[in-house]
Amino acid sequence: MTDQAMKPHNSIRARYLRLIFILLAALAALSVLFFLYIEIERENMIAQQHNLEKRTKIVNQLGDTLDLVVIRARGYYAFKNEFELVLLNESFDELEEQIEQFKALPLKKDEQKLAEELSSFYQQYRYTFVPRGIEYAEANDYESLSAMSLNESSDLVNGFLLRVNSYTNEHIDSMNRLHMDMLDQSAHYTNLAIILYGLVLLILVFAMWVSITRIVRPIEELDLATRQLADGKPVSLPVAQRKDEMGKLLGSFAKMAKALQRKEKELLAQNEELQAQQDELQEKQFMLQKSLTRLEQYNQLNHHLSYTLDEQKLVESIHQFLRRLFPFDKTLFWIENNEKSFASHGISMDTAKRVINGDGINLERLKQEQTYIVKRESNHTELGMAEEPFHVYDLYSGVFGSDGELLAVYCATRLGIPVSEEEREELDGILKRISLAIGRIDMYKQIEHSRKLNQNIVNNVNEGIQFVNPSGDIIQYNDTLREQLSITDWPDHRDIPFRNWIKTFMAVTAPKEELHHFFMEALANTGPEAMSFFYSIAGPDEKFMSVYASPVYGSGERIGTIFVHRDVTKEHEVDQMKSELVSTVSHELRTPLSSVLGFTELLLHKTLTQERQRKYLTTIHKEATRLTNLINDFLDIQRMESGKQQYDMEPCRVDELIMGVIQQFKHEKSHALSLVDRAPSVTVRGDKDRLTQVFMNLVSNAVKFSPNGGNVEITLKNEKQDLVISIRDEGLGISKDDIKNLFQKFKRIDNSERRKIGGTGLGLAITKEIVKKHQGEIWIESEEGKGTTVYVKLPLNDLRLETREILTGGETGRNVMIVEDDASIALLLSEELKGKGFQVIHHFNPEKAYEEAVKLPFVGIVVDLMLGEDMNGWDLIEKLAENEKTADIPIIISSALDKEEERVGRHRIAKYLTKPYSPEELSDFLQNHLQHGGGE
Amino acid sequence: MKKILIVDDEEILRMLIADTLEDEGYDIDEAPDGEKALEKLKNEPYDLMILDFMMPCMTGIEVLGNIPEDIRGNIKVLMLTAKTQEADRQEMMKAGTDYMMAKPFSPIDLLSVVEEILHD
Repeated sequence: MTDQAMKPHNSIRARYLRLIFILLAALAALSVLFFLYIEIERENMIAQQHNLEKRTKIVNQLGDTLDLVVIRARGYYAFKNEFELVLLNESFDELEEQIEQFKALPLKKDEQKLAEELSSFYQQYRYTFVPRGIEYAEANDYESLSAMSLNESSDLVNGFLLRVNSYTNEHIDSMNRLHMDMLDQSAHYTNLAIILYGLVLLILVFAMWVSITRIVRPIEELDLATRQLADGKPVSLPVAQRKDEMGKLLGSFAKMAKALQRKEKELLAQNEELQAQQDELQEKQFMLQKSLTRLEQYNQLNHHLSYTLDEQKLVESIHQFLRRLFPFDKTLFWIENNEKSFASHGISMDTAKRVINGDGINLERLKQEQTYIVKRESNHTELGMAEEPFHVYDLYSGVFGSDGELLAVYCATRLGIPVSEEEREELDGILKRISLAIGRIDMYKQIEHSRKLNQNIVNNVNEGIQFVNPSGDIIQYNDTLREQLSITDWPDHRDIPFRNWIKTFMAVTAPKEELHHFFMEALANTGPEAMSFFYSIAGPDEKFMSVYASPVYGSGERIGTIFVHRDVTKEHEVDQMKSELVSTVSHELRTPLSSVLGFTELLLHKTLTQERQRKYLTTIHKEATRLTNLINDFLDIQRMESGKQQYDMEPCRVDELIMGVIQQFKHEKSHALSLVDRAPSVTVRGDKDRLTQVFMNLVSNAVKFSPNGGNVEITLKNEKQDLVISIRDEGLGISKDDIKNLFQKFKRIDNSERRKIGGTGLGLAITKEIVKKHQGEIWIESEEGKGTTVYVKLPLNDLRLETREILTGGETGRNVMIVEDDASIALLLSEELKGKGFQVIHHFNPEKAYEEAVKLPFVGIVVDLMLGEDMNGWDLIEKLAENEKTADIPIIISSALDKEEERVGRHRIAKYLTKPYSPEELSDFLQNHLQHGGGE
Repeated sequence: MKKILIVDDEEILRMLIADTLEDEGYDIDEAPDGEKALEKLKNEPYDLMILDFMMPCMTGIEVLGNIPEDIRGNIKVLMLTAKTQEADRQEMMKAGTDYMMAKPFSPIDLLSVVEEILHD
């Protein structure tokens, strides 16, 4: 359907245009006519109005002129003024003119009558009455005049004026009427116009309705047809007779509907065909899916067979695969080796174990046939809910290795349905492949075992081992290396690239550059010889390492380099110590040697005074002695450290040993030695000579390191099952930092004040060694400038003895002082007194004894009369008697001398014991004395 | 009269050296350790210092290192040491020792060395 095909006058658009044109034309014509009619009517009215107005005006002028005429007439009558007469005549002319004007107008009958009357009045009044009046006036006959006026002229004039007025009024009325008419007319026109337009609107609406009907109906029909078409019903479209667009549309639609219906039929046919094809495809897809699943299972099995190294996992995956592939009710699969890993389904663990152990299997038949099937009747449990017995098929299939050995067995039971030939073949095929996998896993196990063994060996070697491939990466290393370098971030079983491990080394080792160079050299080294290097590893404890590198060849080719790192810290330390010792010893020896040689040389080469000769010889002797001591000490410590020192262990009394040591310091003037014996038990097990050496060292140190003199107090006391010996001096003291180093060889405290004192620097090291050998301890407490106390703790020899003595020695506060020159007597007394529960303080210097007596309360003081050179026993006794504090302390004289009665009598002596006497005499006396309240 | 300072922690050795040199008319002063030696050096001019290498607190080398430069220029140093290994020798030379003698030494030799030093 095209525009060209449509005839213009038939088209809907043309028809509408035509209709609109006609309507517009009619509307325009009507409007023009109407306008013209109104215009004419209006012109008429206006003309009428003009006419009326003109007449009224003239009539009114007539009235006015007449009034003027009367006034002038009368004025002249009254004043006889000629001017008034002239004016009168002018007014008459005017009146006449106006009457003529009026007459000239188109007049109606009554108006013509009025005009006549006016004209006659004018004639009469002008030419009759006025001349007469003038006559009267000029004759001064006012009575006639007045009579004339009253009788004639007045009536005439008034009547005339009246008529004019009524005429005027009439005209006003007709003017009003005319105006009303005009209003009516205008309302009439309006109504007319409304009616006219209403009519036009009606026509328009009608025309529209007709048109719409013509358009809408076919659209509705089309809509119905479309719906029919959509619903697939036959299309009922009225045959279009119309020639317009609608007609064409309907025509086209009808064609299209037919075409569509035809196509649909075709489509339906095709669709059916497609459906059929799709069904076929789906079936194929399903088949494919099934084979794909099986393939996947195969793949999975293959994967497990290839990659699983865990035997149990492998067994399980094979078993699962076989179960999926072959429908059996009971299955069991196991590997025939020591572990016998197995997997089963549908049978109890016990049954499985029984079968695995060979019960119920004909192994010979299995080896011959590889697979055999047993057909049998169902047993009670297999019968289950079945009413009749049925056949059961047991399949036994072996997996054999390349040498024909049995690797694994698959047992399966199926109820009712026999095993088909295809199944058997497929199973055989699968089992062959499984045999390869089992062989492989066996091999892997062996390799893994030897690998682990190797790794364990390598890890347990004391040396750090590092195997590096030719490109420098670590292929293998052991735990020791990791520990040596304190490495935490190296992965366990992976290669470590060169730059990573070299970085680790460089971070902690020294000398870095040289070590780096060594590694590079070793990696580049093409010869067969090994290289070695020393380095250190920093850390809380510095480690000294020795590394050697050796190229590794495999089948004639260089496969890498092995580095072995050995911790040589101990060796290094020993070396260090050795060289230090050698240097120290050489220095220690050279110094006294220098003196000996030097002074000897001076004596030989110089002429010296006797005094100087003596001085030099003394010095030489002293230094030579020092040298001897040094060598002895040095040999001692060597012997002790090497364990060659013989200890002659026996019970020995420590108080005895100490008393012996004190005896050796008897001549020491500036130091006062005392022994405070608070220990009821003093026997230890030890080597007397060595222990003496210990106390000798300690006491001599105490004396040496208190160069300004002072007390040296040795105290014995029991602590639990030990004897603690303390040696306290009032000397230089030692700083805390130095105490740590005191027991090291040659570690003398570095300051000149102490240096002056001299010594070998080995004394305390030897002492410690000896104490250690006696299961004892030694420690030092000290304060610089105040003094030092050295404690030695030794285990007691006889514990029974100790308990007994503790019972009696429990009391305190019963101090007895013994000032006795003879050590053996002093010890005898001391033992006796301690046995009786006294505490004994030994003093050897009478002055110090006196000072002590002032400080402490004593129940008795035993004094030997033969004491030192400065002060003998009597001096002490006198001093004690002089002091209030000590005057009451009972004095017991212990003397080898006979009693000098006179001297004894002079002093207040409690008891005089003449040596030899039994120690009991003393203790008895003291006990008696105490019991009797001390009063004598 | 040439003035010599003897620095040694061993009193006997100081006495040996002092006696040897005093007899030959040298003015001798003694110091038992490095610290006291440095103090003396600052207070008095010496021609020679006989210095022991192994001393407590301050070794001979440390003493050398602590001598103010203006004093060091005017004094010769003779180091006495028991350390006779090559490495020790070099260390001491490096520290600025002018002469060295090994312990034990002969006082007669020492005297001739001192005379040689101070004669130059």
